[in-house]
Amino acid sequence: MSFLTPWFLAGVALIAGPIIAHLIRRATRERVVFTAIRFLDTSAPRLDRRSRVQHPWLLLLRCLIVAVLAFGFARPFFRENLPPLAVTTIPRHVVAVIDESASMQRTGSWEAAKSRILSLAAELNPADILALLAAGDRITELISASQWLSTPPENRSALVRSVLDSRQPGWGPTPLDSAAEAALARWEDMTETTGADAARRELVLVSDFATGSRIAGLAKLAWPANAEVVLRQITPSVLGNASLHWLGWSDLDPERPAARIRISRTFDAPADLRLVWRDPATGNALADPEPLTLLPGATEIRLLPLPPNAPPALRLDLEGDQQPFDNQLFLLRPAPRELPIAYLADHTDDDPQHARFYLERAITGWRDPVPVLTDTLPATDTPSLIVIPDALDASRLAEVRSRLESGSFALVLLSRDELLSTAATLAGESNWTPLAPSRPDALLGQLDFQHPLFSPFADPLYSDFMRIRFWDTHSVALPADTRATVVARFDDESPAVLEIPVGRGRLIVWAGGWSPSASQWVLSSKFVPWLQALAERAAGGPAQPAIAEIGSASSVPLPSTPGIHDLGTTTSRRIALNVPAAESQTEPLPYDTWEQLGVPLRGSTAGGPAAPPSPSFTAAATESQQQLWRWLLWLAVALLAFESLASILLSRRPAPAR
Amino acid sequence: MPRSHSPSPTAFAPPAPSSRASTSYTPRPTPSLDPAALLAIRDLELRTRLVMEGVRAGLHRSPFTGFSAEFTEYRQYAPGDDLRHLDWRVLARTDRHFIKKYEDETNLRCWLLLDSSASMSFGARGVTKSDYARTLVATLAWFLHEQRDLVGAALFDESIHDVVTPRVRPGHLRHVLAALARPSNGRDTHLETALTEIARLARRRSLIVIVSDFLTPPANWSRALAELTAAHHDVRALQILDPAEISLEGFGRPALWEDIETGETRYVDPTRAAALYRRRLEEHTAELHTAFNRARVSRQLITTDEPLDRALLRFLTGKAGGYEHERVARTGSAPRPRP
Repeated sequence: MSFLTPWFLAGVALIAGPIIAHLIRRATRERVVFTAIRFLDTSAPRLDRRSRVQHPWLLLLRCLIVAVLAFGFARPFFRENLPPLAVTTIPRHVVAVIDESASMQRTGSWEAAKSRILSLAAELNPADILALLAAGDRITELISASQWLSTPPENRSALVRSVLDSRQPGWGPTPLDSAAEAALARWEDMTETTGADAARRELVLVSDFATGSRIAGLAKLAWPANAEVVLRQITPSVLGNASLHWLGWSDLDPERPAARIRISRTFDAPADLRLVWRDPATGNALADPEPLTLLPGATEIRLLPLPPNAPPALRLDLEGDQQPFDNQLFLLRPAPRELPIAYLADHTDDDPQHARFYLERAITGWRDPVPVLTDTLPATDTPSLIVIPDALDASRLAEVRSRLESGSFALVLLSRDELLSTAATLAGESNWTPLAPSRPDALLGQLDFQHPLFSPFADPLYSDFMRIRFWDTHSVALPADTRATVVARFDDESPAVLEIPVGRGRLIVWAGGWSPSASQWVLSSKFVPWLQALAERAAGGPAQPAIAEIGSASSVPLPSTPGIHDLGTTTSRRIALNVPAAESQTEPLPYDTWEQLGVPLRGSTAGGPAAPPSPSFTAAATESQQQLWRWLLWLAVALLAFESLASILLSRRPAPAR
Repeated sequence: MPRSHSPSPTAFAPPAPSSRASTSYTPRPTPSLDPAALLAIRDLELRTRLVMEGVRAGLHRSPFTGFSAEFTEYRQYAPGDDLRHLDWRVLARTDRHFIKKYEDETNLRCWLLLDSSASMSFGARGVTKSDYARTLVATLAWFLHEQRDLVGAALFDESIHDVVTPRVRPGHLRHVLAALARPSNGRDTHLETALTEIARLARRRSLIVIVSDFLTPPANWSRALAELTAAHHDVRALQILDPAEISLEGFGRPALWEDIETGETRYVDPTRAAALYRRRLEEHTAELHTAFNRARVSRQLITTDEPLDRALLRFLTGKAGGYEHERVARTGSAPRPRP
């Protein structure tokens, strides 16, 4: 029998622990209270063997547990039972990942990375398989396993070279965890392709391993038993970096907005730095350069006022740094979204019996969207919210209908049954019949908290609508073929809030009035958030960020280069994209971070061809196949359970008389 | 003959000569009142009542019945008189029939001095010395109160902390029992202080019954005890010990032993230490014997496995304990009838 980690056998010496514990327990546990101690002398400990150990068989059991654990940790295996491993014939399934993140734009990094990949391709045997991935703002497969296998061995290095020559480092983050996850999938593909289960799986990461690399996802990966990760670290020829990072806008001075910027400088970065505002389209300076004094290794947050008459799109340059990949910051000042709210009724804003009174007060102070309450319908192509508290004539109905079809939202308040025909006409449906209320007062009984109108109240903290009473409801009996969605129902299950898609717009029907005599709705705390959710939908959804990082999550595909970009053709949305701030953290990751994440490391940061399996590797593989330590561990657990049971029984035994 | 007010042994017969080997322990026969069962009763008054019944029965069978009255005079025998009261010596000398006349003694003043220190709370078999001693003292108080004697009680540990002065009025017994039933958290035993204080409290000559385990060195308190007897008090000692304190048996394995009063600890193997312990206890008993004899104080050893009624009867009838010179002294000073 051999041991993989024989130094754990020294743990057998811990058997002394239970022995000492038994002796100590015997001497100190029992106490006798007596009256005439002065007639007694201190007794010397007995030396006969029977009385020295209190429960010898229990002690034996405990010693056995310690010994079994020590043997288990020593990881024993039988060398003679295994055939010798044919280490030289094991094929290698190699997935190489080259870092294409923004930090690889540093001087000398990309060339060194390409050289490492080329040397790796050169050292592979003809039976080995290579898949080459690029990790940037997304994972790109440069060479697939099938492409590698279909290429003659003598042409494979040229294939790798030609592929790498067409690549350049990008501007995105370093998703090493996504690359490792893709490598696991590639290994499965290689195994399926070749049918070689016993192949050695290697993941070769060629990167600068900057601190800003995304590696958190490595912890959740289930690595195969025969997988190894080789780290090939790239060191740029020029060290030191200074960077800019956008934090937000400052509203301290409404007359002159300012940008809150974080500026960092490493110890090796040059000291002569300057900040310059420029026009991103032309590159012209908008103001004089501002000298920047920053201590080595320092990080500073500054409030930079925008230059006078600055355009909405700006670029802030950090000049003087030798690594320019993170020295530009593109900024886009957000334009407020105006939302016209057309109130189609001849009501004054100081009459609390009508909805306008509450509408005007509810929308005061909104920042996004910025509502504008009007009495007239807005232009056809402008997203708007139309509030209809009264019946409309046919021509007005047609105008509202056209706005709805072009994307506007309309809200019909059914304060009377006569308004039912107006709502049905706008919805383009018929057979809407009034539904008589079953009770004099009603509550909102069922609400769809998944719907955007009520999703702000999905938290149980805010989902209590039972205190809002409705005394004047005018619900609707809908036909079977209706397109209306019931968003909320009263407690008698009659519809309270309906939504009907009309063209690109939506028609919202509220089955009741908003006056305080009809309900407590407008006076409740739910009214303003509900109205804001409605206005936000009418304005086109939640506000989208105007400044983002490359590779960040977005509802629409984002470009992969920094700059000011127009998104899509249907909207006029623009976005300023910048290099991820994490890419500026160029300090290399500590080596033990990989081990903490459970990555099966094999190599070190040094390059060079992989060494053939050593005898220790063969022993480890043998031990890994036999796994005797598992049986020893189970044996220790069983002994421990038996020992616990015996200890409990002994502790319940009555103590001798005092 | 003038009436005697001295605390004469009217209630208690003269004790028999004591034996020096009084600490040897032998198992008792089946008791009439099992101490463990009796002391399981929480109410001290009920316990006392049960013991009193046994005491009454025992006294009825006792040949010393009639000694609880004070001799006053002789009178001529008349037919029908109880022949037990006939003075046979006078009849032998003078050939005349005289009957001894007695008068109930109502002026006996008795102090019951009870040790309530921590050592008295020891009990190896479920019966603590403290419970045993309290019941014993309560029964004694009850007995004396029934005889219309003045009975009081004092509890001591480091000093006397509970005192009920001797009285005979109705309801006084309840005060005594309440004081005896009061829990005590005493620690150390200072018998010398207690004896000094009881000497100050007992201004008139009294019968003083000291109930303690007397495990402290007699050298500490023998002088105070002698002063007490020198003040013409009749002092009796009842030594209460647990059987385990005498034999050191039943303690099982070696362990860390802690003194109940001082908290001193030492590692003791009871099997090996028993012989030496018994020898030292014998030496201590010999010192006690010497101290009590010098002070002319009778001592009676009671173990807590002895039925209480029997122990009390032994005390009342004087069948155990005592001191060697007392018998001679009392014989020499006993009042003799004058024809």
